[in-house]
Amino acid sequence: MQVLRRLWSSPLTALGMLLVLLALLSAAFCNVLSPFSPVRQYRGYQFKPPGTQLDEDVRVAARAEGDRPGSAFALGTDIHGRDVLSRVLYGARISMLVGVVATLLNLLIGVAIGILAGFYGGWLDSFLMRLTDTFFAFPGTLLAIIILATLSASLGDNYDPGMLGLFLALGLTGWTGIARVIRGTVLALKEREFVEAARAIGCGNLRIMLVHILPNCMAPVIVLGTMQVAYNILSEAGLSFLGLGVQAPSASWGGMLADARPFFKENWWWGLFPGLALGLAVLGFNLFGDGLRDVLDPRLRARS
Amino acid sequence: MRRFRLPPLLAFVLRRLLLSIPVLFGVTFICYGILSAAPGDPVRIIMGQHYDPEIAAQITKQWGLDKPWLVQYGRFLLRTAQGDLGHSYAKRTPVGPFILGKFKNTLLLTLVAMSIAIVFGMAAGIVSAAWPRSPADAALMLLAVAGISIPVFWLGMLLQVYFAAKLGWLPVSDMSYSGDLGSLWKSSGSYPAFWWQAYGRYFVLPGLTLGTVPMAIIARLTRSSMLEVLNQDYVRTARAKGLSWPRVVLTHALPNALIPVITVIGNNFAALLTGAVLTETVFSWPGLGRVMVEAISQYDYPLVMGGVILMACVFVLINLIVDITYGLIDPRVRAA
Repeated sequence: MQVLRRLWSSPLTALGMLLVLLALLSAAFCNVLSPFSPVRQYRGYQFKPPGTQLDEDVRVAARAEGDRPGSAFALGTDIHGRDVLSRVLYGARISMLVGVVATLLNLLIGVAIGILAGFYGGWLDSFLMRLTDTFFAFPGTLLAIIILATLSASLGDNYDPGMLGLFLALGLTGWTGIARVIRGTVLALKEREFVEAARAIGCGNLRIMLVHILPNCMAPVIVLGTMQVAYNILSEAGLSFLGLGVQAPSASWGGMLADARPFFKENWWWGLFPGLALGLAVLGFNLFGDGLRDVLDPRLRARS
Repeated sequence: MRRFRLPPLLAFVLRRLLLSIPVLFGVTFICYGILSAAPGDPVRIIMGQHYDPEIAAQITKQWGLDKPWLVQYGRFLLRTAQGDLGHSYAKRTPVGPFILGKFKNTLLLTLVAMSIAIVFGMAAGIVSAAWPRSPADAALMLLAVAGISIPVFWLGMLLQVYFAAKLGWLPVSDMSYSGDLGSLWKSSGSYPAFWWQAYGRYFVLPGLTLGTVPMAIIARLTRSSMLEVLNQDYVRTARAKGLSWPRVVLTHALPNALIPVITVIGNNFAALLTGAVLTETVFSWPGLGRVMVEAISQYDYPLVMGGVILMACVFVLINLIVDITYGLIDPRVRAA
């Protein structure tokens, strides 16, 4: 409770929390919030600027076919006559899902490796840290691209790995920083008296790691996790921008920007709003992470 | 008998290079393993419509693609150890010279981007730390957090539309030159106006786009590192003996605050060299990142592996340089 109050008291952190909340709400309720179907193409309404009214008879026809259209395209339409606002709202769902699930996978791998390496030391530590170095030395997002390309090839042309591919590609690659920080934290923790006390009353290694050490790693885990969500959202958008992420006609921010790029000058709304949504969501997680860090674990400041 | 001892710096460099061998092995092993798991047939993709089973079988055999992947990997290692990165399947040229040429183009762009990032990032960080909680600090740090949050490809698109398409100050993209940028640099270098027209102006927007994220990271880190140092006693002493505040900040605090900043500069340099795919895509830059993405989609294994090895070596080398720089600027590290 006290933590929450301290977070709210900083205006930037409060802004961050607000943006995160908006993104999560949009992801959860995009089917209710969006005024149009994200994939329905309104013929005759291609490239309409923001605020274009929808003709009454088109509306009635669309309603008869199961869409429940609003009265106007608030943020304009794209090349196929699809509503940009609805697609931006639906894009939040993919971004948030991939961001959060990939981060959970990052944390699972990173924390497990960090705790094992820090706790046991010796050859296991050396091996795990070399493994971490190896993944760290892998150039940029290239490993994610290779994993994604291999997955989609393995599944054949008829099945799109979609989100699962993104979960794996980003989840298996972004954990190195977490593993290093957790290892450092565990190295310091395992010398503390409470670990010795736990051992004295007969706790096994596994129990000490899970019950005594893990909870004490929570501050860096929460801080790094929040910032990792931001990173994963950006990476997902980048992969989708390259055409490697979720495939059309699904609405993802990166994919929308890739489609809008050739038409950006004349149809600025199509390229502006998805980018704005993406940037603001990432900004939200970064500001929130900054605030969490200052409150929970200021020592991390030097590392990020 | 006197034991032979290497000079400490040389011993350190050798030790680090030896330690990097398992990392390079690991990188190639993981990459080869994943690539081989893909069922795609490079021969089929390259032949496309002209697919002929008989010729395909011949080529498959010639490239050794009919062997188990561990055998292929072993052959690849042997070849690489001899300095031969093989032939690209799709480009039909030797991999080594090809990726080196593309890498040079990426390196040039990265140098421009990092220069922008270091100059403006450090300046912003120093100003913020020297006057903390001032309006300038707040504004700069808000800009910095926006800088690490903005998607680079979107930033590139915005810059293109505004400065190139709307104002017409700079070219949109398309160097329209896919060869070695270095030689173009030399040939156009002696006429400044021509140099700018044919060359220099193409670097501005991509350099700015690529440099924004490291600029923001450097600004944030310089600020927090400086704030820590500015709280030290010797800073108060310097101030007490009557030195001006800018002088204290620049000559007493800055050198001591640089160490974490140098690590981050090194890391970002490596990240840009190896991860400029998005910026290169937006600006149609003839660099290594784009070549790699294309090669992956074409199952061009020799090209992918060559690029991955080159990038991993660059990564190891830059980290080594960062660590040596540490020793040079921080006597405490040298003693240890």
